[in-house]
Amino acid sequence: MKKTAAPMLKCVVNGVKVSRAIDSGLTLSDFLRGELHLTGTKTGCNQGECGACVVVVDGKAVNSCLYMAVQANGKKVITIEGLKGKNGDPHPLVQAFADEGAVQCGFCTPGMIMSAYALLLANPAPSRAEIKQALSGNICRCTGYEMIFSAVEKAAGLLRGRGGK
Amino acid sequence: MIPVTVVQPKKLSGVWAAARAAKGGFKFLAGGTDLVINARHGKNAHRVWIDISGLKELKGITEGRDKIRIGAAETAAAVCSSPAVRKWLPALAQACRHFASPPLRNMATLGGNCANASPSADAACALCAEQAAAVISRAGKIRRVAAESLFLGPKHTALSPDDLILAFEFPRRAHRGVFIKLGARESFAISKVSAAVAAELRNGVVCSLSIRLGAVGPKIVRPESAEKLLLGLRPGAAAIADAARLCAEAVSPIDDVRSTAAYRRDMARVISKRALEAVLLKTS
Ligand SMILES: Cc1cc2nc3c(=O)[nH]c(=O)nc-3n(C[C@@H](O)[C@@H](O)[C@H](O)COP(=O)(O)OP(=O)(O)OC[C@H]3O[C@@H](n4cnc5c(N)ncnc54)[C@H](O)[C@@H]3O)c2cc1C
Ligand code: FES
Ligand code: FES
Repeated sequence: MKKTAAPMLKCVVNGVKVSRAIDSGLTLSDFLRGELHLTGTKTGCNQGECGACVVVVDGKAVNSCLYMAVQANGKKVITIEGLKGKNGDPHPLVQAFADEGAVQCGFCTPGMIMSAYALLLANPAPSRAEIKQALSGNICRCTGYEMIFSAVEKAAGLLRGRGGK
Repeated sequence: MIPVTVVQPKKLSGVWAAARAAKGGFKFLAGGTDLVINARHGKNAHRVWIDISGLKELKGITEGRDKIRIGAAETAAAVCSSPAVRKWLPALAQACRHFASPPLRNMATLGGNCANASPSADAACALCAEQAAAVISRAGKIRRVAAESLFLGPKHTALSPDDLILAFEFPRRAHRGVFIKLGARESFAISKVSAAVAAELRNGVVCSLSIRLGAVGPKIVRPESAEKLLLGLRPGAAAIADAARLCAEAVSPIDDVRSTAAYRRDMARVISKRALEAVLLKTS
């Protein structure tokens, strides 16, 4: 089939309006990494198994390797680059991951943090079991997970302390 | 990049126009959790995908006077968090809660789970036990069929390429239900065996019962002899154990990457027994 004019993708990425003609065969991970050069989002398996590519779309964690970029039309996308703390500080989740030793090679970290971010949006005071459940789509080959769970608990406490911001 | 053109009709009527325009054939795109992976593995002969994930005609979970309706593009996450589903369709709510991973549950839809027709599809198994009817539209002409009748074999359905599932409808009836699955681990594992059971009891007597088993045959298995055995009974542990043996006799599992046929058959008995006990022996 002959290609018709490239479709427009209009969405908001990390608070910035994006509007551009794209090839509709791009996945959201292709688009974020290849077109917007937001390479914090990783791709590991490209088939929904590892969670390295997790980003948050309209408040919900999704696997950007399976999400077609044009499906983000009209939506708000948040990637690891969009997480900021106050006054230029790192976001509490990022800080807690560093403090708790939850990062070793770091490949899983952006996906882990975005899954945790989506969890804390929906549930600011999760139990350890709820944290494990929310991160069950993210694989880490290095840490053994315990430090990651502790980091999320710590960040949740920090965020509650300052009213969720 | 996937060699495909995704079109996004704004309304249902636009879907049929897009379908007519796609001369080389097309696929519907919902959550993409099967379609995109298949395309990556070279299993995509279609150059056009029609994105139906945003159509409002395929959305919404509504509780009517005698029916519950779930739009086919509702995600597993939306289904398992819906109070109406939890109240009226307990087996389906549990199947969607134990499905894949949290981010995949935010993408994967009920319509896609059925149309993909994997024998291990959890939501599809529960839909059958919950007596779902599929509301299907072909070029705007609507028909209703039992969801179960759609499944013909592994990844093989009675749907024609231009059949779009709009919704699933269920009788609104108070009943008990469970969904239990056995995977390689507790979370995020495709079923080796699953069981969905829905039952109505009156004064402890079983007056309706549907049992469905997933991942243990070319399609979702209905162990009718086990259902018949328990109907009309006030079942105790012995009758349930007998029924669970009949469940294991009804399956025709295979050896594959996830498990062996022998293990699956034995686990079909164990999982059926647990599911039946949970539904039929619980007091309340
Ligand atoms: C890592 C991983 C783990 C998984 N684990 C599980 C699990 O535990 N349990 C389980 O059941 N599944 C599991 N799945 C599969 C599950 O995600 C899919 O079966 C999903 O439900 C398909 O829905 P979708 O919206 O993503 O469909 P898509 O991928 O968009 O589409 C799938 C097929 O359905 C067709 N289709 C979609 N919607 C409709 C419609 N309304 N009418 C007609 N045809 C339609 C499409 O054309 C396509 O052929 C897993 C998948 C992955 C990647
Ligand atoms: S890269 Fe998307 S889940 Fe692995
Ligand atoms: S830190 Fe290496 S994969 Fe998690």
